[in-house]
Amino acid sequence: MSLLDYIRDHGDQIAALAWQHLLLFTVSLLGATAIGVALGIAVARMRVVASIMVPAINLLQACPEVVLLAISIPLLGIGFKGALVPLFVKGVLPILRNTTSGLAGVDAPTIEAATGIGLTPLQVLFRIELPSALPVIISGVRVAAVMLVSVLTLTAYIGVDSLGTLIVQGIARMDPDPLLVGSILTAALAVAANYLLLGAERAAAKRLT
Amino acid sequence: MNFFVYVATNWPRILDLTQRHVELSLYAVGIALAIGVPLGILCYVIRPVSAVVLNAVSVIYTIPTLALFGIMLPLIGIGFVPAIVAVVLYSLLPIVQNTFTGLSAVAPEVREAAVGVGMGPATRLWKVELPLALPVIFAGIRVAVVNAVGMMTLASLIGAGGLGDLVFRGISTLSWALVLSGSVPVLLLAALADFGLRALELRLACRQGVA
Repeated sequence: MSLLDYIRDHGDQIAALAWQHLLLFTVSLLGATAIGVALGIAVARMRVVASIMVPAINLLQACPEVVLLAISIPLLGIGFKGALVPLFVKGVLPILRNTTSGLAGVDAPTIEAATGIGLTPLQVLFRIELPSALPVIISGVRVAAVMLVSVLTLTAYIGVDSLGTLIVQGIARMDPDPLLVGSILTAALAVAANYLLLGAERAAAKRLT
Repeated sequence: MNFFVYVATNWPRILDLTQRHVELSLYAVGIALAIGVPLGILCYVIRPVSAVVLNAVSVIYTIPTLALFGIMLPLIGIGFVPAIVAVVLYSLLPIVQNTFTGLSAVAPEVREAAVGVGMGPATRLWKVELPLALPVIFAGIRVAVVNAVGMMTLASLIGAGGLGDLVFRGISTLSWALVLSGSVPVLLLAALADFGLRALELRLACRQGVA
């Protein structure tokens, strides 16, 4: 019963933190997608860079979020900007990697045919290449989304207000109520984002065939 | 304080915490293997089960790590048990999924040949399918170990110790030396595990190519 009491008493705080978390999540996911796709297109154009970058990105992905967050603090300080290193590594890089490999997977004769009928390189990119790579790109966005929810939760440790704040409070005070509320809401956000983007990925793949 | 000075004066403590970190991670992956491989086999043998189990483990894998540790606290309490349970849950996806994928990828001809020489389902699984799936299962174990080493850093929050002790004390006292003295060993452990297990994986795959 105490959990319901807690929710009733702290409803405003929970709603504010949830809103803040959702806002940070949306902004960072949109930012990561824009930067990741743009860089991915640039890298895909340079074969040599791509062949070095993809394994390097896979290695960086193996770095734990906490460690990325921890080593980002001395460089960028605390607050939201302190989270930029993990947000970049866990958010931008999976999208960059998938954009590059998605574009590399587009069938060469299709591109030749498109060039043959007189499409400019920019038209080929937007009408042929990006739509064909879309399922792979969305899959990268999905991986990034799940990791971003997790990174944002951890940013509570460097003073960013998010649902992680409830978890940190709960751990510090050994109070199960904020712990459960924070954990369940962040878990729900991650699971929902994962399924929504999985649906988008399948829809994009279906349109291709 | 300078990072190198800190490491030079505190290396016994850092080594202690590293040992603790490795122990916790290995226990967790060991238990995850004991649960995950049979679950993967179960998914393969009884197809309808696979949809439920694979979805369940992937939902668990999606939960933010801090939230997973957080949920453990009211359910199990503090100490090394909840930390290990959290990491076991998180390690299930790569192990179950790869066991299932590895077994499903065994060539149908090979399976038919095994049936043809009179092997029963259990012998076939044990002598033919599992050995062939081994490199894929091993890749899952590698991912699980690398994840576990990273995730165990959070175990410090629920009182299980490990290198997270240094990282989190460093964050709360804004000491770069402390943060690095915890982070660098974690990164080294993760990179070492990834590299070593990848080498083993290649040897396994090569041996299979020859045989």
